[in-house]
Amino acid sequence: MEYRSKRADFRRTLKALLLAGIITSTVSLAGSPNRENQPMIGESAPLFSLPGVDGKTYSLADAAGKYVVIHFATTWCPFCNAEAPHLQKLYEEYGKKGVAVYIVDVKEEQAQVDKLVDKFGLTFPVLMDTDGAVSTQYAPEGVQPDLERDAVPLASNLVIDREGKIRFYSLLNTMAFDAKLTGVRETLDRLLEGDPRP
Amino acid sequence: MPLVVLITFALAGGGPDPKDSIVTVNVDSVTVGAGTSSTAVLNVRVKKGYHIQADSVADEFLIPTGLEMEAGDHLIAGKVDFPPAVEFRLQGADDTWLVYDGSFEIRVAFAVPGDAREGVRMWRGALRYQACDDRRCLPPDTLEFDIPVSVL
Repeated sequence: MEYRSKRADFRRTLKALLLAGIITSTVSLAGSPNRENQPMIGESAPLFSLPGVDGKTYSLADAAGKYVVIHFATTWCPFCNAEAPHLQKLYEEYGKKGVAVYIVDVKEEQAQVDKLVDKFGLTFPVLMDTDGAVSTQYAPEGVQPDLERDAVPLASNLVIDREGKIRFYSLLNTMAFDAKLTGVRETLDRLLEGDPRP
Repeated sequence: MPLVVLITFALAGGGPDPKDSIVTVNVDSVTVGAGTSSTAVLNVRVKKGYHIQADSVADEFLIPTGLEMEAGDHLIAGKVDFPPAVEFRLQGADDTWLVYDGSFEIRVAFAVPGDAREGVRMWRGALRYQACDDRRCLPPDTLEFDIPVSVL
């Protein structure tokens, strides 16, 4: 009996500790709601220089003075493919407003990527990150720690401002999937109107 | 009554930690007579929250779930039957995909020639798949397994 009682005390203590842990975790998560969904905001976008499928070399530094939209993709990524036609539409609408759009394809052969470019009629630069080094640089620290770093940004969209700062970064969230890129569009509209809010 | 031994293969399936495999395959051993045919059943389990593409995909770029059996010792692979897939409707887009989630069976028919010698052999196969959950899509992966086949 005594033994049981002690066990019950132990259970109560354990429950209290667990509850405290849950509350602490909840408060911690509530205190940083954007850590997972909108990471790296305000940080300088890692510079890169990558070959495009068109044979040209594209450098982020060369896009200084433009707003830049980057989408990390692979051809086997269903969510990336769902966004591809909407990226083309976005490019057609915003390209003339000084917005550069890039797909950064991660660790694939160009022949495969060429097929995707043809299928969706992509007319903006599609860049080849064949070793995943650029994608790795864009993997937010602490996000999806069990995943290979170059896979973390897959299906993500970023908006980089004219000073090279990240102003929008949406990691994949299929429960609130934004194939039509409304978040990217809203951010671009605000930036193009001169709204400095992050 | 065929001898049934449950063997679990939980080899690396989509992450650095094999204990955390996205897909596992359980294989029942099969006992079959020489000169007859039988069916091996793979019990596939997809980790909760994940789905893998179905065995046929509408989008040519997606990686369908596929099964390849190696040439076995007097084992002749026949038809592979995948279960019906479930529809995955993508929120915020018009796209609908066919996927597998939870647990399902893949059935592999095979024949054993009459001149096959008695004994147990391991028949190696590989399941190829590409998995996603609501936060990430994992690179295509292959899970190898062995089907113990006892020929009488």
